[in-house]
Amino acid sequence: MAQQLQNITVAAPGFYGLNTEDSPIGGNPSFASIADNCVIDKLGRIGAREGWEEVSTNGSSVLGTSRGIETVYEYIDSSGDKYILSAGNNKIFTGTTTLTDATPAGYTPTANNWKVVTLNDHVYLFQRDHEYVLGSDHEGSFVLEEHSAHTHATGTPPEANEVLAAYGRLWAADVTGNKHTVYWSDLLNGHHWSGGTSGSLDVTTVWPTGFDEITALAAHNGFLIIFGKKSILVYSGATSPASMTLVDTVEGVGCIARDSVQHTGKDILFLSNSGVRSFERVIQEKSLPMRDISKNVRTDLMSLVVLQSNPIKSMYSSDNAFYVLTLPDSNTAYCFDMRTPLEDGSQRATTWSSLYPLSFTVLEDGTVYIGKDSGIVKYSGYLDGTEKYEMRYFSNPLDFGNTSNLKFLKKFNLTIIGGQSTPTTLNWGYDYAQNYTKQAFIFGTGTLAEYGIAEYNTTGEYTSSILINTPKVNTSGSGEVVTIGLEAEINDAQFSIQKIDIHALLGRLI
Amino acid sequence: MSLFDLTDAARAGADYYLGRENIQDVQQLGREQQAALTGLAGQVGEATQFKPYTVTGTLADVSATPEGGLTVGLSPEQQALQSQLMGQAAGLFGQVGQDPAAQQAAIFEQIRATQRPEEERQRLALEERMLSQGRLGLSSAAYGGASPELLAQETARQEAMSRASLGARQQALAEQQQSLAGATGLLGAGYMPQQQALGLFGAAATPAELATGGQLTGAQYLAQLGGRASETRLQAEDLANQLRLQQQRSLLDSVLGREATLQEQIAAAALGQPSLASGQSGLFSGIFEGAQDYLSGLPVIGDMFGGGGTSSGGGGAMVNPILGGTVGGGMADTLLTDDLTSF
Repeated sequence: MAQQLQNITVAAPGFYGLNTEDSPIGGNPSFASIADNCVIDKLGRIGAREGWEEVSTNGSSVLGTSRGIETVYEYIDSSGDKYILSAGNNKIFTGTTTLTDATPAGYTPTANNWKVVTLNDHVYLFQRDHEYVLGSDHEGSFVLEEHSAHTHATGTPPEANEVLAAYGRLWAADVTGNKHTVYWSDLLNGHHWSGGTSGSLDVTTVWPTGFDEITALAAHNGFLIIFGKKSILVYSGATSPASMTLVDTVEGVGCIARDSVQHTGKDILFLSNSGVRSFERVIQEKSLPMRDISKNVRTDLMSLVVLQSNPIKSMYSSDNAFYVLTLPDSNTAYCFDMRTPLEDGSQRATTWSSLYPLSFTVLEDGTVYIGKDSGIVKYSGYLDGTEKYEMRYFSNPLDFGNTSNLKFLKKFNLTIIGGQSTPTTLNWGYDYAQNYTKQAFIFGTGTLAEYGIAEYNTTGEYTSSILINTPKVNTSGSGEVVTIGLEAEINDAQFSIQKIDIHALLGRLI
Repeated sequence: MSLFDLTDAARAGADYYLGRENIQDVQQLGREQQAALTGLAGQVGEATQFKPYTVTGTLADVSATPEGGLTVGLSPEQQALQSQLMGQAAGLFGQVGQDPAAQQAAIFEQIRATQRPEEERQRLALEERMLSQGRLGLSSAAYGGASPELLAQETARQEAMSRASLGARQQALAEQQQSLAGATGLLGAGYMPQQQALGLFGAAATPAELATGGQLTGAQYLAQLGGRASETRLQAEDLANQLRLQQQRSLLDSVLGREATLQEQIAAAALGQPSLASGQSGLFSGIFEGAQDYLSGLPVIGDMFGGGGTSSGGGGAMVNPILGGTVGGGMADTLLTDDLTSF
């Protein structure tokens, strides 16, 4: 006697992002095992990330065989003039469409891992073992010059790898041979490193673990935060450095990548040796329990982090509400949706591949600039340049709440938002096997109506502003647990998975 | 008068002889007087000679030396006390003579030694506080390369050191003054035994003066009496000589006669009786007058005794009434000198 089909709906599949840490059995179907080139869109669905568009056009000529643009930064002076500074091929460039070499004459950088900050109408570029470079347009045009060439500069600045502009001065740390001292400039004079209220703080005796090395600095909520590799020092009263005092220390958690530190407005994110952490929770909860932003992908993330030899960069985009951490040696970036944390305190994570970002910056207007091997690109559109890119979503093995019965998949009813002429492959497999059964189809063959192009009494179609695809795919096979996946070649159109309805027949007990 | 008058010659010789005897007597008298006065002077000198004496007390024995000096011999206890006091005074004087800076440094160290423990406690407390505040390694150019606390602490320490230095300076100078006063006092106290001994000697001066006064008075009396005795004898001898001279002259006049005195000659001239101006004839005056006549042809004799009317010796001539000339100044001088020197 035939059994009745059961309808299992996986609403907003992958909405919780990746989870490669928990046991897949009995897990929440909202987690994904693979969410590559995905983001959590504004409606909470898993969808394709945006692609990139070329900004600079002469990258190949100015970057040569170098890795590409490894630093990119937007400097806005007091008069509102905007300058895009970028670095690559051991040069410092200005400009967007055309990268112009603005490296100070006679100054020869040997690396491109600059940390760039703005203080009092000057922009400062620091990196290890380099005399810092500052820029301003006080002479009528924007000029970059090293400290020793600057007329008003005083003192001997530290050749620090980390610099922070906060509380009216520059803070620098992580000098070769001295990774335990924080230096600060005179008030409002980032180029005054002697006299005034300049000074330094040796934190050798402050580390809770007895020894550590400064990797990054941050300012938050009136505190100066000194990140060690395995500990964090929090100082209050940094507005008057001579009288600032230690208010908290965090042992066991530190920052291992200078450029992983990002402000979200109310929090600071950083990459520790146990994953991406949230500073605010660390302060509030006094380190227990630790809020682990990357809790659900921790193992995968850290297994890649240790492989990195080039600088790890990050970006926080409030417009897109994500925090992206790129691991350039692995051609992978982790994207953490920062809208709402999950119940366990982690943030929903996805990965980006095929983008190969080397550096990021978020412009004042929210535009995300990405430094790549080809130059500066903009995070925009749904093509990587002119190429399609593949979005991949795979669920964790699903048992549909019944672990002991066989499941016979009969039919998938997909609801896909967007997708215009998007070649898509539906995958399903049983019992943890990777040999999926595939079904290819193309979404959204219709043409979206655009305002002003359809005319009365013509053949123009009047459709909604976004395509909604609801393909139905008949499936076969059986197994205890089912893994489903969707691979779509993003072709200049948004693509989000709204819902997957699975019609399955429950079989006998095994 | 005839040139060669034997009577006059005899008279002159007798006068010469008598005069010579008298001179010798006077010389002898002078010698005796000298001897007597010499003996008296010796007695007076012996009587007035200083007699050293010693004042003996429990503190010291003080002796006057014959030369007029003093010898103070303190008792052993006083000597030890004096040595002790002098030694202490020398020590204090040594402190007075020290460089104030060295003494200041020593006092400064003493003051700082009392301050350092508290400073160390405060330093440690500050160090702990700064460590707990994570500020131990803080360095600010605004605070001289240190933290405000360290600068304040160092400022306070420097102020304390300055105050200690100033106090040490004042204390050093005050102690030098005290040392000087103490040394002076000890020095005075060290001299006190001697002063007391000298006081003892001074106290004994009055009885000594009494004894010495009597001695001196006796010596004065002795000298006066001796002088008067000599003078009395001299007068007596002088009187005796005059009497003997008068006796001898009378005798001579008796034998040889006497020439009229000047008064007699004046009176004879006034009275017109030349016999009165010729004097009196003596026993041998006739004999000598005959001899005189005989010898009147021998003027050489007169030259022999007269020698010229004037003295070539430089002294005044003496009229010789006997020989009718003058005796040379050289002989008179010889006699006078002999008298003076022999007396």
